[in-house]
Amino acid sequence: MGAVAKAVKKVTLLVHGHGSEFFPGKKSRVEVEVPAPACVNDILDAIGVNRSLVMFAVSNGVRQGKDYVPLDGEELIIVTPPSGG
Amino acid sequence: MSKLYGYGGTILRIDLTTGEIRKEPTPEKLCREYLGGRGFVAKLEWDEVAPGTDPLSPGNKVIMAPGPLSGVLLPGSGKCEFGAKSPQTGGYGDSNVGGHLAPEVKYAGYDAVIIGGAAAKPTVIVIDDDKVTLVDGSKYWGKGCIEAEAMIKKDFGEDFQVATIGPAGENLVKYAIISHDFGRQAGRTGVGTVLGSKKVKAIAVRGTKSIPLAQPDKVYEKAKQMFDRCFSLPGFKEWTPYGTAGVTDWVNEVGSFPTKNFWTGYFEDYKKINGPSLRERILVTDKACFNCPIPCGKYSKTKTSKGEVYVEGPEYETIGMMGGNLLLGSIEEIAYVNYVADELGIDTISGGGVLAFAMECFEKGVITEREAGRKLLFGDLDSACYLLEKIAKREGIGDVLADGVRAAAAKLGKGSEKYAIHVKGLEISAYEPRYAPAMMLAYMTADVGAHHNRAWAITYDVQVGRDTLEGKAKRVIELQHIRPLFDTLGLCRLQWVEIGFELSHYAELFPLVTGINYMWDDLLNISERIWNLTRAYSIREIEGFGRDHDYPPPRFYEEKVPTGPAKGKGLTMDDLNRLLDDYYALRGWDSKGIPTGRKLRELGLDYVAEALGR
Amino acid sequence: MRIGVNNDVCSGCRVCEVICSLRQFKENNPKKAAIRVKGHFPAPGKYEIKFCDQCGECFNSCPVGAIKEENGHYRIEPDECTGCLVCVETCPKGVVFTHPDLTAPFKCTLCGDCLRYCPTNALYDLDGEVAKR
Repeated sequence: MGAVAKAVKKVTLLVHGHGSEFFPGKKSRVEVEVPAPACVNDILDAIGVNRSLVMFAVSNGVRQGKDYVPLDGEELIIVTPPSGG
Repeated sequence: MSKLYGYGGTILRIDLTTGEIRKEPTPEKLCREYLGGRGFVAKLEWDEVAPGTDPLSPGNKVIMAPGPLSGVLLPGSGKCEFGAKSPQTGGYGDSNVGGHLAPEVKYAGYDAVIIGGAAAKPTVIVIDDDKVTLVDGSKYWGKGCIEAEAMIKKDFGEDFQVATIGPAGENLVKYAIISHDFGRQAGRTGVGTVLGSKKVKAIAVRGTKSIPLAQPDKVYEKAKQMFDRCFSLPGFKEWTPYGTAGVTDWVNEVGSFPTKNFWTGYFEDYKKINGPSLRERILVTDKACFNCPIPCGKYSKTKTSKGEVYVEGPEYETIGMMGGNLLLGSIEEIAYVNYVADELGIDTISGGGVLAFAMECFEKGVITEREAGRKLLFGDLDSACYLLEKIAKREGIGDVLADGVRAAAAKLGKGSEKYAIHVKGLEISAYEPRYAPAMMLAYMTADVGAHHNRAWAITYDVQVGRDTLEGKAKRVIELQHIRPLFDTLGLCRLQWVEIGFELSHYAELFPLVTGINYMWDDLLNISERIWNLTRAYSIREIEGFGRDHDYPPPRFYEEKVPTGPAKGKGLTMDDLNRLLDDYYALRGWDSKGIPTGRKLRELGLDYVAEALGR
Repeated sequence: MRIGVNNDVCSGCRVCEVICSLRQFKENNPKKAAIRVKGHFPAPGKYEIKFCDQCGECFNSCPVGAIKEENGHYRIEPDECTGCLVCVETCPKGVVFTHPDLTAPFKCTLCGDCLRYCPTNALYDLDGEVAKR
C-alpha cells in the first residue's frame, strides 16, 4: 500500500517580486500539489502561470533552472523579473 | 493654517540673474493637491514658466523637489525630483535621482528649490540650512561630474550633499544629467542642460533640522514593521546581489533586449554582461541610496584597454543601451563607457541611443569617415568613447549628435529618421517593445517621452499574452498612476517593483507622517491629476501636440524583429491605433489625445481646462 | 549586547542613523544620531561606520560627573552637563556628538536599534544576543 498515493507531491512556492500578482490569489506564498515528477515549468503550467514570467528558482539557497524537479514538501523561492529600474 | 507635518515648510526661490534669494512658506493647498516631488515640479512648471519659453533661456526654471516622505525612516526614502521645460522634447520634463540629496534638502527645511534666471559666471548654489549663498564656481567649471563633486565636498565639507553637472551640461548637450553621490543621476529630459544654461555647476546642501512628524511614535513603529517586512520577503537576499542588472538574462530570453540600435531584441553575448558578470568580475561594494534595504547600486572598478576606473554601475539600463545596443559584449567595457558618460555628464540611456544611431548612420553611409573623424563601429569601445568626448565638447559630428537623435536625423537627412529611435524627442530606454504591446504603449504615452519609469509592463504582456492588445491600455494607465506616485512622495519604487513590498504600507504610513488622512486611492487620484497636468503642459508648449506625437519610430511598426525569441514579431500601424484608441478612451481624452474639459474639471484642473480652451 | 561592525558589507544606507535619532530623541534627524556612516568615494569606494564601543573615555574625562555608567554603556545626563565639551574632544573615535538645538552632547546608549535594523548585518551584536539575519 502507499505506492499509488506517492503520485503527488506538495511544493510551497515563495514568489519573489511583483510578478506575484499573476500567481493564484495574487499571493506571494502558494502551496501546490502536483504529480511527483513535476519540474518548475510543469508546476507553473499547472497553476496557470506563464513560464516566461519566472526567471529562476532557488532551492535551499542554490539557484536552479526551471527544469529543476523539487522534492515532496520542499519550499522553493520563485524569482519573477524585476523591472531593471 | 495648521502645521505641515512631513514637510520642510519652506519653498526657496533663487533668481540667478539678480542674485535675489527668497523664501516663502510651503502652501498647504499645494501639499494637499500635489503632494510634493513630481507633483510640485509639474504644478510649478505650469505656473511659473511662461508659455513659449525657450528651454535654454533664463526664463526656464529648474525645480528641485523632495517629497513629503523623503528623508523619513522608511525603506527607500531618498528620491529627489528635478524638473524643467525639456530642451530635448520642448514639453514637460522631469527626472529623478536617488542617493542622499532629497533627505538633506528636507533637513535644511525646503520642499522645493526654484532656480530661475541665469548667472553671468559659473556658480555653486550653497544651501546650508537657512543660509543660502551663490558662490563663484569657476574652479569647478570644465571638471567631470564626479571630480567636481569630490572637490566641492573637500572645499565645503564632507557632510554636504552635492549635485553637479559635467562638461556636457556646460556645453548644452541636450541630454545632460545632474549627477549626485558619485554615480547617481537625474539622467533624463535634459535637466542638467537647463542647469548648464544657467551656469550652475553645482548645488551643495547641508541641513540639521528634524522633519516634523504628525505621530513620531507610530512612525517609528510602522517604519520598523516596514523594514522587517522587507527583510522577510522571499527575494530580499536573491535580488539584491545583482540589482537591476539581474534582469538582463530574462529580457534576452523574452526577446526584448535592445540590440544594435533596436534592430533586434536579442544579444548573443548577454551572459557576458549580466548581473553575475558584474558581481563576479568588477564589483567593489553594494551602494545604497538613503534608507534602502536592497541596494541596487553596484559600485565597480573596471579595467579595459583604455584604463582602470571606478564607476557606479552599470545599471540594467546602461547594460542595455551601451551594451546590447552598441554590441559591446564585455561588462568591463560597458562599465568603462558608463564611467566616461558619467564624468562628462551624459545620460547613458539617451547617450546609448545617440551612439547607436551614429553607428548605424555610419554603417549605412549617412555619416562618412571624413565627417566623423574616424570609423564609428558597433562593438568598438574606442568608437563609443570617442563619440562621447566629441558630443560633450560639441566638436565636429558631436555638435550634431549633441541635440539628440530626432534633431540629428533632421539635420543629417538621407533617410536617417529611420534610425532615430525615440518618442517625442526622448530616446527610448532599454526594452525592445515590438513583441510587448503594453510596453510599446507605455513608451508611446509616457509624458516625458519614451521612458520606462512611468510604466513597465512587459511581465503583464508575458502573462496575459504578447499577441493580444486587449486590456493593455488599462494596465499601462494603472502603472502610470502608481509608479510616478513614488516620484511624487519622494520615494524609490524598487522595494515594490523588485521585491514585492506591498503598496498598502505606504498608504498606512502617509497619514502618520503628514497628518493628512489620505487613503491610497486619494493618492492615486492626485497622481492622475498630475498626469493630466503634464500632458496639458506639453499641449500648451508644443504646437499641434497630441496623437501624432504618441507614435513610436517607424522601425517599431515597419520592421519585424529579425532574430531571437521574438523573431518575426511586430506591431502594425493598426495595432498602434487600437492601443491609442483604447488608451485615450479610458483616460477621458479625445481621439487626438487631448484631455476633455470634463476630465480636467473632474480632476480639479479647472485652470488647465481654461488655459487650453476646453 | 555589544556593537560589532563589518565595514566591508556596509552599503551606506544610513538606516542606523535615522532610527537612532527617532529612538533617542523621537525626532527624524540623522544629525541627531549617535552613529554615523562615512563614505570614501570615488576611491576606494568603501563605507566606514563611526560607532561607540563604550570605551568609557568620556566618562573618565567628564569634570562634573554628568556621564553615568549603567548596564554596559555610558549615558550623558543633560541636566547635569555644563556643556564644556571635554568629552567630545576626548572621545577617541569622535562619536560624542553635538547639535545646534541641544546644549548637552549626546552619545550611543546601546539600545541596539541600529544593529537590529541594519539591512546588511554590517552592524551586529558581538555577543550574539540579537540574531543576525
